[in-house]
Amino acid sequence: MSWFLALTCLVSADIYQETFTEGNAAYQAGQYAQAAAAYEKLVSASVVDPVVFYDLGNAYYRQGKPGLAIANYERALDLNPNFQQAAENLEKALRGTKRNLARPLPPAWEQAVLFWHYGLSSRATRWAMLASWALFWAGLAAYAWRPHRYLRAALIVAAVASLAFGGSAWAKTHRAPLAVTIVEKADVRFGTSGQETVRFELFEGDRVTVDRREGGWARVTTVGGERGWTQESNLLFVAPPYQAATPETPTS
Amino acid sequence: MAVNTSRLIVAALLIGMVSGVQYACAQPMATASVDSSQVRVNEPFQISVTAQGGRIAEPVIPHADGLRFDRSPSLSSSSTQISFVNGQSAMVTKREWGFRAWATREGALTIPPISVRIDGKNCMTEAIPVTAAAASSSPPQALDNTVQTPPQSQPNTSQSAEKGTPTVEDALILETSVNKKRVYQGELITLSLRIMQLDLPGLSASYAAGPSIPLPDTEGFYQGPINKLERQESRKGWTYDVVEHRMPLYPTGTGTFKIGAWNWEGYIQWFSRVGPQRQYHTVTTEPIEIEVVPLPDRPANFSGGVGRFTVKASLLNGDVTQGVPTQLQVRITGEGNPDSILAPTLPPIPWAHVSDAEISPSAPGADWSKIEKVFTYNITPLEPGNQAIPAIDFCYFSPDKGQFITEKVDSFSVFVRPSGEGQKLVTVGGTEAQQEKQVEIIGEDVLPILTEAAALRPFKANRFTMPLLFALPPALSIAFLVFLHRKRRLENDSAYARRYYAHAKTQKRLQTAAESDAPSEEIYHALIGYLADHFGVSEAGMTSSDARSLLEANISEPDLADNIVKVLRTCERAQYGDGKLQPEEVQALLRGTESSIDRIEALSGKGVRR
Repeated sequence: MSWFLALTCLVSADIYQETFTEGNAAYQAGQYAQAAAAYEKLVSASVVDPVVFYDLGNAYYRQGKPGLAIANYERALDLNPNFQQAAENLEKALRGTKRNLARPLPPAWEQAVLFWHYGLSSRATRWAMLASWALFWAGLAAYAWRPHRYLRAALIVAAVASLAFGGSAWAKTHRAPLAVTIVEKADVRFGTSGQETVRFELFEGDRVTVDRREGGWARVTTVGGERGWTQESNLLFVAPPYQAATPETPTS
Repeated sequence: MAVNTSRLIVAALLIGMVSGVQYACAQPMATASVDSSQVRVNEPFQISVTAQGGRIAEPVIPHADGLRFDRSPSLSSSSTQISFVNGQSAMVTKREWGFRAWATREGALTIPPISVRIDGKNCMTEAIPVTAAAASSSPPQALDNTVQTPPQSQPNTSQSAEKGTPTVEDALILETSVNKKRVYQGELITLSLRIMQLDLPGLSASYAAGPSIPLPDTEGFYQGPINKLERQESRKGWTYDVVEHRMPLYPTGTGTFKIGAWNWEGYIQWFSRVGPQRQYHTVTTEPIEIEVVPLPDRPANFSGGVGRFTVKASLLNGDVTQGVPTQLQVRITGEGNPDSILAPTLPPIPWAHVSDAEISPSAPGADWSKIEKVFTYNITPLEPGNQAIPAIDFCYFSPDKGQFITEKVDSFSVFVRPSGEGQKLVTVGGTEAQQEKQVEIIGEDVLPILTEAAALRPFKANRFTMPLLFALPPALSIAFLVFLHRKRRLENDSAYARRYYAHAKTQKRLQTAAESDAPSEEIYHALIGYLADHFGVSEAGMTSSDARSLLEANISEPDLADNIVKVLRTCERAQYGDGKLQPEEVQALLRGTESSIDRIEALSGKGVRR
């Protein structure tokens, strides 16, 4: 049974690698739509890899779809905040947007207390929290067995570290999700109806945070604090679960 | 503690004394004085007003014939004094103000009493007489040129001999001039602002009306960057240090415009035989009128430039590959307002995509009046073959000739090589014409894709993984702590250890009892040993009667006690009677013993009476 499972995994891995290679080949041949479709197939299959998102961003950028490109660069950076190429390409893509709107800032308390955690991915933070948590309990057991002042100091350090990383992991998990406008222009209204008055407009590539979702509408907030409702189909969410931009997704 | 108490007492006393202070305004008083009773017309002098009392308001400066006052004080100060006399405390506030004043005519003048409201009462100062002499400029006060300065800085005696003694008027000269007074709209006018200070040892001029001399009003003109020149000039036989500011001005409208007067106000200071001298001095230039003529009818290709210009163009590379951009630079140099020059419109180039011009004004060169503006166009060839960039027109207005002039830049030949397989042009959406505008070249702009990724596999989020991983360390740690606790108790608590090991020990003894020579004795000792270990008493000398007492005291089930005692008595009888038990009897005794022990263990688990 276990052999069968291992074999299945191996075959699946080959399929994903093959799709990725196909996407790369299409990209290098200048067939950006095909490349994007291949990468999107991986995203639909729940393959989560910053390189895939980065390449997908490039494929959309080449097709002149800055919104989708920015969303995928943001996803790559969310998974690996130190991904230099993604950061650079994101900057270039943003320069091509109408407003080059800045990314909404996290809450002030997070900026003040967790200023150090922006270079860490959610995954890294979670593992660091688990490691420090395990160390704390191991240290506690060791201290109960043979107390030592160095061990006590290490225990305090591990406790502080697990608290800090735990807070960071919590903040990263519970922050309002980031979304990117993927249509040329999106109306943001006072309420969840097309009849509501337009409050302001979002343009392709504008990044917003979404704090509520209701019946296909999302309540968005820009970096300047402007808030209103827009249709979810105007946005692509950066955070997981990663929604693939299917051909049905409006892009203009 | 003692120190703190004494500090508190001192603080309390101070607070008490201050709170008990009475405003000592029995003698509210206001006085006024001037820094000099002999003044000159239009020369400022200072009036000082002093008031003392409790609550003091601002003084009211009255109007006076022949005098002009600056009613906002040039200086103001306040001080408070607390005094204690015969146990009574009093607080006196003293305020001082300084006001600038000028005599507007000659003769004997009087500064009328100045009113200051102190503690709700109006206090008046004494009137102050002032004598005003004629203004120093008629005739100007002579500067004693035999100044008391170190020998190395003695003035030029030949100069002195030639022109005599300089006056205050000669000390500082202000001049404004323009190179032309009738110009076309947008044409360059150079406004020259010159401050000339007499170069005499010990002579200085300090501007008094602010941190720097304000420039004259140039409303209606677009102002270019100011150029500063410093040099020495000779005038009337005297040497002057000249600071000249050259300001390019471009009239933005038509009609008559005025460049405002330029003012200097300050003190001239010098040394004479009698010591340092100081005199207030003002200098004002005349305003300059400029007549601005409109431009004649403008042609459609007019670039906005007014002046004298030359235009040159250069192509970065005339042999290019399809899709690889090259740069065309159009460089405009000359005299005129660079900000008014728009990018030249390139003639249609159907074989290429042309970007908007990037503008890069060059840094000013040695000649401040010369400007340079460079327009750079990115030209991306779309079609291979021999192509040409047509001639470019640059139209400007020449004020010297009074007409528009069109300069032409020669056309360029470009050979475009066809692109290879790997370099395709990518166009995005829209019509064919729009596509040409949106051409994008592979390999430019964004960084390339990455072809190496980690092992790609679907991410299966398991919601139990994190809680499990989170719970595992404390669970393991707590299990270890419990183990450690039991181990230490077994080591340190002998009663606990005896009870803990009693069952296992007895089981082992019972297993060997059946094969022994005296099984009844073995069973008896095993059971007595178990009871002693379990209940924490001494095994030595324990009889079946002692066992009954022990069991009755600790076990709530009388039947169990009876059974155990029965087993023990049977064993005693076998030991002290014929001493031989049948194997069946031994087995029965063993079963009875084991079941009794199991029952005691079970009861212990539910809570044994101790």
